Amino acid sequence: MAHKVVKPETKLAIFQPAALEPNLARLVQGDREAFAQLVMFYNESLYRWVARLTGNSHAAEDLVQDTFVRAYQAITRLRPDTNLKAWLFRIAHNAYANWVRNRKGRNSLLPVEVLDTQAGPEELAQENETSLRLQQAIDKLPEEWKAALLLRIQEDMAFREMAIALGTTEETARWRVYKARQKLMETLEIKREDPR
Amino acid sequence: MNCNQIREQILCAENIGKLQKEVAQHLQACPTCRVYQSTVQKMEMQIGQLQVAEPLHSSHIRLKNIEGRLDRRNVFASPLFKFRRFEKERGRQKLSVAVALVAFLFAVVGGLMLIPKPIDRESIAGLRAYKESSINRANSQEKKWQAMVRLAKEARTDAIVFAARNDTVHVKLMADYLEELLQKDVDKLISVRELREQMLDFAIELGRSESEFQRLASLHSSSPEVADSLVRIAMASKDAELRLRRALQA
Ligand SMILES: [Zn+2]
Repeated sequence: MAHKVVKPETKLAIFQPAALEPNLARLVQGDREAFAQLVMFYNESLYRWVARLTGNSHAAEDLVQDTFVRAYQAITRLRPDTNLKAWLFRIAHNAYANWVRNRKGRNSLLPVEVLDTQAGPEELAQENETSLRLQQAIDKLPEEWKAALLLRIQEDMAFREMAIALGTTEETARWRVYKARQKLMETLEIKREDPR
Repeated sequence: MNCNQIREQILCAENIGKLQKEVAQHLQACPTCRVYQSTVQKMEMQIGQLQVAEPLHSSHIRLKNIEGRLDRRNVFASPLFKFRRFEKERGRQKLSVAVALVAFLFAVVGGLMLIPKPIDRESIAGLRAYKESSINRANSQEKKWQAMVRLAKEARTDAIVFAARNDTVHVKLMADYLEELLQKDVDKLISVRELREQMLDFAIELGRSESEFQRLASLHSSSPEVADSLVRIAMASKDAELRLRRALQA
C-alpha cells in the first residue's frame, strides 16, 4: 500500500483565516453557515494531528468527520468564553481515544501507512533516513505523550490550551511534553551511537 | 542549577527558544548544554516537518461529507438553503402575518385587502428587499455603513459555503447580490466625510477578499459556473476597493 505524501509546505490552499474567523455567537444558535466556516477553519489542522497520531489517512478522515459531527451536536452548549480550537481538539482527542480502544479490542492493528520515499540523491536519502528514525521513535511513544508533543509542535499550543484539549491539567500537559522530549532524545542519542 | 537540572528545564519548557533567565545565562557559559538545547530544538523542527499521510479529501469534500452526515441524521429540520441568521427577521415576518390577519379581517369588513408578502430569499429581488430594509433601518450614516459592511460579510461567507457545496445557483445569486451591494450601496455612502476611517478598513478588507475569491475560483476550475461567479465577486471587491481608495484620496 504505497501512499503519496504531502510535505507541510504543499498543504492544501485554504482561505484567508482573518476573513473567516468562526463566529461563536452564531455557532451557539446552530447556524449552519457559521458551522461550515468552523469546519473550513480547523479541518486541516485537526487532520494533520489525527493523521500523525493514527498514521492512517482513512482513520484520520473518519475521525475528523466524527469530530465535527459531534461538535455540531454539542454546539448549543458552547459558552461565550469557549476556546473553540481547544474544544475541537478535545472532541477529536476523545474520538481518537475511542479509536485506540476499539483497535486494541479487536487486536488487529491497522497498518501504518508507509511513506512513499523515492530513492534520490544521497543527502535526500539521508534526510529520509533521519525522518524515518524520528517517525519510528515518535510511534513508540505512549499515546498521551505523543498527542501532547504534537499539539505543542504542530499546533504551537500553549500548555494551558493543551490542558483543555487533552482534558487534563496544565502541569500534566507540561509533564507529558517533557517525557516525550526526554524519551525521544534518549532514543535518538542511542541510535546515533549505535553504528547500525 | 547544574547541567542536569538545566537540561530538565529545557525539556519541560513551553518554548525551547525562550527559556527563563537563569537557564539562558547557564547556556551562555556552558557549550555542552547549548548543544543539548539546539539538538532538542532541531529535533522539534524536524518533527514539525515530518510528512503526513496525504488526506483522502480536500477541505471542500470534507465539508460536504460532514454536512451530508448531519443532514442524514436529521439534526436539522431545515432545508439546505436556510438563512438561520434571519431568524429575527422571520420573527418579524410572523408578526407581520399576524398584522396581515387583522388587516385581512379589517379588509373584509372594509372591503380592503392588505396582505404583506414574505421576503423571498431565493431571488435577487428578495435579497434586495432584505438589503434595503437592513440598511434603511439604520438611523445614522455610520450605522448604515456598518449594516452595509455586515451584509457584504454575510454574503461573502454564504458564497464560500455555497461554492463548497458546488451550489451553482446560489453562488451566482450571491455574486449578483454582492455586485449590487458593492457598487450601488457603497456609492451611496462613499461621500460621507466622517466615515473615512471605516472606509479605509473596508477597502483593506475588500482587497483581501479579492485575492481570497480569486484563489477560491482557481480551486473550482472543474466547475466553471461556480468559478465564474467567484471571479465576479473578486472583481466586484477589487472595483469597490479602488473606488473607495479614490474617494479617500479626494
Ligand atoms: Zn551545562
